[in-house]
Amino acid sequence: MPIPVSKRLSSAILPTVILFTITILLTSIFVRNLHLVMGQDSEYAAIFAQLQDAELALPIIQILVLSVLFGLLIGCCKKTIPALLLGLAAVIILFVVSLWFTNVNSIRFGIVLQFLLNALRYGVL
Amino acid sequence: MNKKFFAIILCVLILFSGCQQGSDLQVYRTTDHLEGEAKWTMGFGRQEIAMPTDDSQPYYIAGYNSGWETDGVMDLQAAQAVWMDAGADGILLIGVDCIALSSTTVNEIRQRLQPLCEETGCTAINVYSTHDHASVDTLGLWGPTLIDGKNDEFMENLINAAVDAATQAAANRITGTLYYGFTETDPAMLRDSRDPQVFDAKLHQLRFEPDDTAEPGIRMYLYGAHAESLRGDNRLISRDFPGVMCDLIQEQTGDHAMFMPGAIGGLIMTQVLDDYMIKNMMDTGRKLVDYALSIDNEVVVEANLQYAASSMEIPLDNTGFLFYKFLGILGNEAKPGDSATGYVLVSEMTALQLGDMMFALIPGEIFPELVWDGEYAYHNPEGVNPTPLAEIAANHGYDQLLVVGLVNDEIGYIVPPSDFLVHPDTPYLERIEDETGENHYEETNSVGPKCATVIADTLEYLLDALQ
Repeated sequence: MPIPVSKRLSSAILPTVILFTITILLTSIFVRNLHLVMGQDSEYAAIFAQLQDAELALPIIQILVLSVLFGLLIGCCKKTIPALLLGLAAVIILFVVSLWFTNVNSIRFGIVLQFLLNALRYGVL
Repeated sequence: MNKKFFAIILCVLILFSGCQQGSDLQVYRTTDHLEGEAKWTMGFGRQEIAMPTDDSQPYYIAGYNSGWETDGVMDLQAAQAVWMDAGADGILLIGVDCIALSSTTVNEIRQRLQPLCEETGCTAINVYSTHDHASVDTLGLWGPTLIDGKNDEFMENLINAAVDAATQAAANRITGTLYYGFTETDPAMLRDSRDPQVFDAKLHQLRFEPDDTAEPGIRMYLYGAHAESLRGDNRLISRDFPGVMCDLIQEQTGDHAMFMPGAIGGLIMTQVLDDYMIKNMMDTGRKLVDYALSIDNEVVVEANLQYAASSMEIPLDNTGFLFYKFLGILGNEAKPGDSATGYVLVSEMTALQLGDMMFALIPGEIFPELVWDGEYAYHNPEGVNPTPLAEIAANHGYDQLLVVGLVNDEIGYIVPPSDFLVHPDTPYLERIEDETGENHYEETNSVGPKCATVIADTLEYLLDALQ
């Protein structure tokens, strides 16, 4: 018997809200504490510590849409373990997408990441 | 029905898609607002910039080396301001003794002067830097590598000094006559560190003589040289030769004085006159004062003021600039756009007419060859140079174009596209030498090769608006 749409939607609400909130918090905390992620003794710690006061603009719409999609998928899971595994995958995917498209001081994090990788490749950094 | 609807949408998008300038075009003509006689009114203000008293945050000397803290103060940096109007609304021109100011700092100064503008009818505030290489870092680029070198307390003191100077200038305004004159300095006094050797050796003077001869006049000097006669080993805060020049002019004439940098990209600086750098600074200042006081070809500048100002979007190809912006060090405005990085820098330019003279207020350090039709280097054969700015001005009926650099922003060097070379693997991060051994340093401190064309297009747009 197919699950009614209303039941699908209602069972998706909680995972959507949780995914959305976790993604926003994780992204903000990660960017503002990037220097800690790198290690406080790292030569780059002081450089990235400047991001603690950065202006962040998260891709709210994209995170919301993806949270709803994953929320619907999780809401359809009949068993707990598959739901948790799917939730974990969703958090990782959402976090990566969110980070890539987050604007830090008006500049997209993803573009800077490409720049840093290029600089490391040629030994400039 | 659907096709028609989409065609209309497409037309609207095409109509608005080409607008890199113009959405915020400001045009002002005194003649549109004049109720009485056209007459110059000017006022002067000056305020020294206090050094920081809080030792917890270091401050660095700007211009040459990363992370160099200062050893002391030779003479304090200052903000100078001039109010000028031709019988109607006025403008403020604020000059700050510092390396450069980003648009963020300039807009903060403008915001704090809003009440004054409402009270006095000031329609425009333009803030330039003397490009002083013996000053406290005000851009953030001279701290330890990739660490913001700005000192918060100094920046606040600077902004306050600029506001105070402007307020004094507005309060001190009096009527008088404006004169323009110039003299050719010895070309041997200047040095262009990059071929071809193109620079403006003239010292230009705008001199305001009050009707009340008991009041001091105002002299504004425009010279195309970097303010770095103290050179790179210096660790003392100073205004460099512009400060010496302005002090001596005041001492010898009683008039207030301001120094404005011209087209200094490429990199134009004064020659070393003495190996002891403090004496070099004094000698350079004195020599320029001798030239200034020798000016004998003054003409009256007709009481007419008009300007056109607009924002412009410059493709940001410099990944180094992008990273500094990401870290929050550079305060320029950036937004998504068509460029190698996916961003454009939003800056601004003004075409200011005084009498029948045209001034281009440019937010960076433009190579003189882009202003006057001189020689170009051609190490980038694919690069196409825009029409020289003086030719654009001449096409609009202006016999003379004067360029003031580092106004309202600092976007770095504006390099001719035909000579624009970057490192093939790490563009803008490492310098490259061309086949003649010429070091293409300026490219690493520029927005990108399209900047020159945007500047030329914007001037064309502004002068069209003034016609």
